[in-house]
Amino acid sequence: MIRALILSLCVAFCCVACEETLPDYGSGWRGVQFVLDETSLNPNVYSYSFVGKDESLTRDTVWLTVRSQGLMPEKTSRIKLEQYEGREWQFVYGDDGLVIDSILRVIPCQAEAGVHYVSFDDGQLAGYLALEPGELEARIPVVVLRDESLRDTTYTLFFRIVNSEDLMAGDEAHCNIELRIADCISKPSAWDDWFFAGPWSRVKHEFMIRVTGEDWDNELINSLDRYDRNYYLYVFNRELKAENAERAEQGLPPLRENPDDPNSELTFPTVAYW
Amino acid sequence: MKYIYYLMTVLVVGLLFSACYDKENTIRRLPDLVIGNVASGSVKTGEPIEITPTCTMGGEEVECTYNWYRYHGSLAELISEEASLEWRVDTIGSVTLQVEATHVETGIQSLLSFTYTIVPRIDRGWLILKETSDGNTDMDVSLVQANGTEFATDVLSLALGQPMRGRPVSVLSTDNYMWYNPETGSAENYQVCLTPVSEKEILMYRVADEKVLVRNEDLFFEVPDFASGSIEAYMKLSNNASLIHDGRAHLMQQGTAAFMPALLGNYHLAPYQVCYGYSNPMLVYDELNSSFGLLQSSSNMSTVMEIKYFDNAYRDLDELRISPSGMNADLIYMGQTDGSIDPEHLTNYGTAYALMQKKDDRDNLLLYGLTSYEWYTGAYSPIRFARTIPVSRCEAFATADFYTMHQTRNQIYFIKDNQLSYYDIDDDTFVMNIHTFEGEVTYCKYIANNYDYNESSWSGPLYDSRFDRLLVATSSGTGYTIHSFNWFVNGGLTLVPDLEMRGEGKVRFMLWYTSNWRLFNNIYRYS
Repeated sequence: MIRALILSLCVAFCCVACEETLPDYGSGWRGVQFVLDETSLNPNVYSYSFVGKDESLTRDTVWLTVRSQGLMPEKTSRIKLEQYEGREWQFVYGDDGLVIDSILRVIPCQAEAGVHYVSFDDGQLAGYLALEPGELEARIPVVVLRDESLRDTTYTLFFRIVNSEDLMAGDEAHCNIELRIADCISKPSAWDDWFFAGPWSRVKHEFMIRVTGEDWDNELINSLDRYDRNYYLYVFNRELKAENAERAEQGLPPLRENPDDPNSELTFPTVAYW
Repeated sequence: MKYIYYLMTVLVVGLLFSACYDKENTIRRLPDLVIGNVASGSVKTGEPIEITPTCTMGGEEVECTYNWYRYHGSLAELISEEASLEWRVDTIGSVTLQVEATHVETGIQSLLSFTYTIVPRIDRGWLILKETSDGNTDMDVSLVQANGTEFATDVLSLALGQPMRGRPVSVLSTDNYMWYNPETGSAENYQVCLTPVSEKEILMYRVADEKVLVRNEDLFFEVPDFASGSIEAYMKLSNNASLIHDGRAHLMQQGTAAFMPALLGNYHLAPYQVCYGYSNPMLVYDELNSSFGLLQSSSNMSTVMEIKYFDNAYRDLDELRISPSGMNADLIYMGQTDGSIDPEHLTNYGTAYALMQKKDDRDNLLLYGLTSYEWYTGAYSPIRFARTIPVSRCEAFATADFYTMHQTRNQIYFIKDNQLSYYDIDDDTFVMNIHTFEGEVTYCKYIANNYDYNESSWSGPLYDSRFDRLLVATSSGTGYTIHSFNWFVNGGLTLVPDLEMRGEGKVRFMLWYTSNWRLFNNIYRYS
């Protein structure tokens, strides 16, 4: 009896000893993902404009920050990016205001490699698309090209981190980026639906740049506090009033967002609520 | 055997004696290093702490080197390595210091910590803004204490290294300036500051540590052209501030760190801003359009961009029906009194009196009373009183050097050629030459200090600093003399020689300062 008990205990110990160890967080998995501004309403959206830059500038670099996930890299590890086709759902509403149909459409004007940006496979970038051993964070480049087509249209580059031989793609929500490239006035990603100057229009944006001498890009917009915003609203209203008075003297109508639409007179709020 | 026994005994005894032999190797304790002449104490804001320590060992003075530290919480900062400390306090409340003495010969060290309490130098008393001999601005401060009044002179020079540029304009105070601290990068609300204003400069001078927080460029979103223009008037209310530069109005909203650009429009304001209450609007006079107007306040819901002119509409009971716009008149003086002239609203509303002269009639003066009841919306004419006063009745009233309004009575004091007189509006009489001053009169203001008191034991010690005084400053040689007249209902003005103050320079503005919240809410009365 005792012999049987000892035998069964030995077998049980053997079974326990042979149980498969579940992989834990530090089992050797190494990944990478973007570091996004979580305070932004659209943290995945970036924008770049050649407007205001020297005409001789034919290419420029947008730097994005990535962070390693899981184990730190022990060797130079390649980060692999790939462009993907951006799509969006469009909804069709019935008379009662309810959705009756939906369409998945390809977003127009998507950037082309070699035309609007340097392909991620280009050898020039290889040295930059990497995490060095022990490196927690790195900045990786996206090289944008100044193509004629950008003069009147904003092109969007949808790209993401994908698995490479060294690094896996991290959290999907932190691996996809939408980069808007333009050589004309384009809506900065920080100009959201709650932007203090009101809805975006090309005329409004150009006016703001003209009267302040500022680029009104993401960097400036994100640097303003409420009192700066109120000051700029004051300036916009003051200068708009002066310009409309000047136009009136010339027999011209007030500045419009759409020159052909008399109901689209350019206006600015008078106060920034936050 | 016995011989060996004795030998052994002698050897043992010898050994014992030998062991007791003094080889002079006793360890003697050195006396402690004692730091003397260092003790906790108190110092007034902005004044230096001066300490010359001594070090002794065993009662004998010894040579030491010193390190002086000030503590930020538990962190020590080395502030001096000199034998004597001379360090100007840069904080408020109290500061903990430590001296570390090192005996040069032995390297023995001794530490001594001590605390200094910092007593505010600006607490309750007069702020005297004065013109220096070279036409710039400095300030003297009086601190009224139980055992007498202390004076600190030229405090702006001390803080800035030189006086403010340009002649003095005003000094008021605020309890709610929002300061962007450049060291922390964050906003610090409710800073209690004085705001000295000269023709060419304005700054925020923190009361607690007498530190200049911001100055000129940092106080404007768009800096006015000080080369061609000057600041002419300044008014601070509890929530807002207004500044007239070269006839243009700049507003600062509560919670904002800087003045907005000038209000839009074609106007040129006279250097008078009159308020009633601790918030906007402020009554102004546009010399270009000969019209009264209002500086309303911006809010979280709207931004004021233009002067609000009164609508040409009249209340049913308004029998005068005088338009406050297009008056074709020059403003000579405008001041405020608490009394109401609105027959419908006899209480709770003050009055601005404006002494004017038609551009095409120089033989008469016009005295208008404008009720503050109409200032809030500007929808109706505020003029409820009008009187024509022939210049021939009192030429000095038309061309006086100084005017000031009694705060609670309808009297306008004026000084012409060093003669103090007043006009009683209710009686329509002039009371002439009630006092003659020697020297050059440089300032005259009636100040009814009705708000500096505490009657509630739950909010600190009881006190009462209220007074009704007419203050007149004169200049003679390089010095000034401030004369104080107490005012009593039945006795009128009485010169009080005991209240006389003297100093260097020419007094151009005075403010009774107190940290009492009531005064912050009624600062317009002191402007």
